[in-house]
Amino acid sequence: MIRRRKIGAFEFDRPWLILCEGRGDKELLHKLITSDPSLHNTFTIRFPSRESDSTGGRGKFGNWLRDVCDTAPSFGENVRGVVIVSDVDADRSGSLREITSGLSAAGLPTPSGEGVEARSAGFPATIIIYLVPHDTLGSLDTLCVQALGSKWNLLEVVEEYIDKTPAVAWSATKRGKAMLHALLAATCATKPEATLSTVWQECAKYHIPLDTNVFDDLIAKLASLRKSRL
Amino acid sequence: MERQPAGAADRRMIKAAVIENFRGFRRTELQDCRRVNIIVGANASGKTALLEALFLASGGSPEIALRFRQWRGLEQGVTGVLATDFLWNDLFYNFDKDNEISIKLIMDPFGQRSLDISYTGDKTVLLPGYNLTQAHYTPSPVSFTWETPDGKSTITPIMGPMGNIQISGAAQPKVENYFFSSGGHYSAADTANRFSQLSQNYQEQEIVDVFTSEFPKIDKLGVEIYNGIPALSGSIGGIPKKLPLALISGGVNKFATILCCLHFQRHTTLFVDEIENGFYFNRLESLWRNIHKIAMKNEAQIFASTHSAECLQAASLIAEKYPDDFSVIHLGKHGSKHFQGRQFTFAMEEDIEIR
Repeated sequence: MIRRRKIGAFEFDRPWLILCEGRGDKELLHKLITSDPSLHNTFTIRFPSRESDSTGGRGKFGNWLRDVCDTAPSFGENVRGVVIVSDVDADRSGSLREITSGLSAAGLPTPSGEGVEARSAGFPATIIIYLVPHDTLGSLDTLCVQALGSKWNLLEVVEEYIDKTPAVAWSATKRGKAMLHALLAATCATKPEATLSTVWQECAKYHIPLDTNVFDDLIAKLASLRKSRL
Repeated sequence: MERQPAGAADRRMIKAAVIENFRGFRRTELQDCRRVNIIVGANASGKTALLEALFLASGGSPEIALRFRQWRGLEQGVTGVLATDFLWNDLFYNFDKDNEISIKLIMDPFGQRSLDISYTGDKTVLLPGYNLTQAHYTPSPVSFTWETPDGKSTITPIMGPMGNIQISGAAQPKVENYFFSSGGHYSAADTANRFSQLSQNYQEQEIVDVFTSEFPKIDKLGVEIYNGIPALSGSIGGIPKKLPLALISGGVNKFATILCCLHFQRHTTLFVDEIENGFYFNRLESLWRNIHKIAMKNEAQIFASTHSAECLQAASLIAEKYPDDFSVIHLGKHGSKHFQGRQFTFAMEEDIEIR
């Protein structure tokens, strides 16, 4: 179902497109790249929002990119690279395979692995895939839990709490989401129901800290893209 | 709004078109046109010219080319020999009359229909039957040739000494289509006549039902005569007399006029310039819904231009259910780009600028 939205058509006016999984990821990535002056004016961030696309999860990336390429003149004119930032979840190679299968099915350049650039005729941009976290299972939420938990010195407490709930049996990604919700609810005094996408509208002291080394690897990768010659 | 008369059923839908040397088009192509075709593009990108080209080629008479000037707000009354050139010059790409205008329509399922407009120069030729005293009635320097699988006809308008223009004959076979200019001059009498004819055949009820559901404050829709001139009229609460719809609201009148045109005959083609004009934003979705519904039922086809994101968004809500029936044609510096139904709804959903 097409949602009614405010009128304000979108244009791709940056050389790199970051394609992520959802609104919360988008807001976090936006904060990350705007907090680092070296990343300004380089990245547009979008996520496949098309509800009518029955392709699930990461498989949507391929169809979405193909449709954007077909419909948005500004994509072909301005975008030279696409970086897909997706969650590792419980199976690093499985997650990568899900993305590359979707890209391949859409007839797009298909990277052979994480951090490998792919290019092909008929598509104007290089495609590269980064899975997060880079060194463990989980998701972007997992990184946020580490950052926010450290800030409030609640990391051990929230892990202990989650271990005493049914979430103990969940996947790393789901446990990460539960811990993030718990941390936000217990620290964001102005809006305990804040989420990864809405907490940024609250007072800065309740934000997830971005100046920790938790995000260093991701920022370094994005910075290297900015410097790369496409 | 201008109507061309009904005639032989030589066509159903325009599936594709090639336009050469017409107004701002050196050459442009339309492909895979659908039931509803929405034309977008910047000012001066050729949206109106595209509608004019299709309207002119899909039937009618050279007179229509003159009416284009009027719809665009240019003076119509011209006199003198030079005026005969002046009248037609702007039809030609870059005013270059050496290059013949060619508009080819690929019709589904009845083959090709074409219009060639050529400049015959200063050759003042006496037409058969004209004597010397009539010599000041000269053929205009352009001729219009329509060709269909059924035949070919050439019409050369005759220019009179006072700027009057005589056009005899008509392109064959004629077709049923209507042009709504952005200025929105609709003949109340024409609409009333169409409604009356539908009513005489007990076919007006669907129009009444749609109209009153869209505008529930207006009822008792019918034709009334005002000082000898018929007008589609309605009753609106608090006013003691029925009023012509044109006096109630421009948008209401336009909506009723479109409904009447679509209902009047099957296989109609509607050309609507700046379709959103006159409509309150929250009417746009139902406008498209009704246009699409009636177009499907009566096998009509719509070509409509718009600048409005709200209008596109409203159309996309209908296109989402009927993607194969919709196409958006963007006119730009590098020609036309088509967004077929699914691409159209994707762009709307993702807030991608396609205007």
